[in-house]
Amino acid sequence: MSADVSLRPRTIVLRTAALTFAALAALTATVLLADAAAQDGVGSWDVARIILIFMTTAWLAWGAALAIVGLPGHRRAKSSASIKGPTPRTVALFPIHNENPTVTFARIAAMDRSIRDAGLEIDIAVLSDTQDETTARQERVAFARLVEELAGGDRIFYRRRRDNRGRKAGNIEDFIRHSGGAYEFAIILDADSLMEGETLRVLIARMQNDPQLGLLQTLPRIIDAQSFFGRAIQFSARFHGPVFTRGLARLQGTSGPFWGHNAIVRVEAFAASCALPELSGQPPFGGHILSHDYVEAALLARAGWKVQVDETIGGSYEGGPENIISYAKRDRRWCQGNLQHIRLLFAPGLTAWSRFVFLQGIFAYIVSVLWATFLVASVIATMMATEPDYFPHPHQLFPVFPSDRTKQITALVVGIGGLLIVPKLAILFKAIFSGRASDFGGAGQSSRSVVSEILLTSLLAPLMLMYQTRAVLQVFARRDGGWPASSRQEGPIPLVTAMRDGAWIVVAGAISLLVVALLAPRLSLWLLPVCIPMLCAPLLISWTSRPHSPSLFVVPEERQEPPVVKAFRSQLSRWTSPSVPSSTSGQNRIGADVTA
Amino acid sequence: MNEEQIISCERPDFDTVDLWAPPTAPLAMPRQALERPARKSFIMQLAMLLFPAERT
Repeated sequence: MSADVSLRPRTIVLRTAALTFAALAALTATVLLADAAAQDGVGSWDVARIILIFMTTAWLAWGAALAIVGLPGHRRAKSSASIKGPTPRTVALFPIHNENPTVTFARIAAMDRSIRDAGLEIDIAVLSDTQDETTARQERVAFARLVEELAGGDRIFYRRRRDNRGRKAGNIEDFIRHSGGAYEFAIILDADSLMEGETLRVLIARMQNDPQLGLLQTLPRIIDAQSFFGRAIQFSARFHGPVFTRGLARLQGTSGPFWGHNAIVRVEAFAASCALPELSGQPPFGGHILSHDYVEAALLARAGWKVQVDETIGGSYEGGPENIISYAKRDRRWCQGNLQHIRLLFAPGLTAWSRFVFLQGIFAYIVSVLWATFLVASVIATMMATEPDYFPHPHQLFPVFPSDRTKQITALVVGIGGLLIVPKLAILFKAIFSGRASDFGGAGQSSRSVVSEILLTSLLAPLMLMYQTRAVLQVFARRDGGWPASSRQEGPIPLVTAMRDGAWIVVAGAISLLVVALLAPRLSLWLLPVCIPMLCAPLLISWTSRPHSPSLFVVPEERQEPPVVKAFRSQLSRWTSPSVPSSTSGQNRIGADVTA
Repeated sequence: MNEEQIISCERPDFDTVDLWAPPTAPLAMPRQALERPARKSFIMQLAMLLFPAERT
């Protein structure tokens, strides 16, 4: 492939504008802080926090820029392309690893029905990397039942690797090496993915109509959240996600992103460009590439293929974390994966924007450490500050008061808060005026949900900062996080478990507050918004994991359940229900066995 | 699926798994290069020049 996927002028203009906005915002914050710090002389700790505020504000402003760029909708709706001729040979890939087989195969059954309802002929391949023998046996039982029930012996496949080389990326690679020649397109899914048959039709048609397109990513919508935390994430992703993704798409142009699932790839392009090497050295920085999706997008772009995301394509779903502990566990994995990209920043031949994408991923985690360091530096700088000298000259009649810099500090705090909140409020106003808010329960309910989500994320921000800081430090201390299976469908977290998991945050919060109260009491009040949530960490972890009534954080998929989700639920309840007719007594046993 | 089939699935030597495998249609996947080869230091280059037999 030697396609010339050149940048559109609009992409260049938007990138320049977004980067300029971030730089200007960071510069403004730096000047405000430098001005405030200069009143009692600039020490080395002041220099440190001035540098830190530049970096952290630049990151926040970059996030805000994504929303601003994504705020204007599409001038014309993207056409729902139609497939020319018979369905090109396509396979839906389900890589699984120690998942609950009943739930996973119920999703596959629902998708297969949806595919056939759409009149498509698409194969499905379950690619098992399960190492646990009991789960593997349950997979075989569940698969046999699936194939029998759907009469899918000729189109639904299952194979298990006993060697997990390369993890998920290696699993897909293994399939392409053995079977890739049979297919033109592959739809890559996760164990908790669900996609409508009609969505797959759009994806295939788009690939067919654009021979330069190597990968097309959808924006999966989170479904099935039950807890307060899970529902808040689900709402935020559904309400704000499309705008941020549109901004991302406009800035990335044709070089990404790829999020690893709920996307279609051109098999020929993927095979030619995406066999990942093992990095030299030991994990966490060496070995298998963990966050393979970003790298695969960069490699496709390097080979001249287009990689795009389209947030307007509906009918694409996934599950989300239900509590803070699961979220932090997933984040630990992503943190290691993104920090590993430090090794790839100067990989040969990548486009400049692909390198910038790696840098963003790295910065997304490093920034927590920078914020924590900024807080520490601020405390130390205040402690080291000299007391104001009201009579600097001998025989002075009137005192000289140091100039008041409260205005600058207040402007800094308001500005930083604004970068976080204003984009979300702008999305809310636009949704109200465009009528999109009606899908989320109307203007009133949407506003309540947005405000509640902002309050919740503000409350949880210190906890997330602590978890991310710990994750970054662990990775730099060369602690490999391994490859834990994703947590799905968990119930509420008991307070005892939350205390066990969050005790270190409570201790850190208590020590910080005590030290500040003793050494820099003037700062105690400023640090309370950070320290109080830390002291309440176990309560917050447990409370937010509880089931929550769907009166708040309403999403369109709750008001009208998508067909494929309905089919999945119905399939799952059939397979897990104890009242199955006696003629299928074997299925009773399967349900009991497999869900155990 | 009947009892016999379930028991078959649970047998360790059950070979249905092979029958379930996706079609065989190999496709080459060239391994990509992401790391630049490490450069040899000046001292190392000099040493290799002076002692070519030591080159590995």
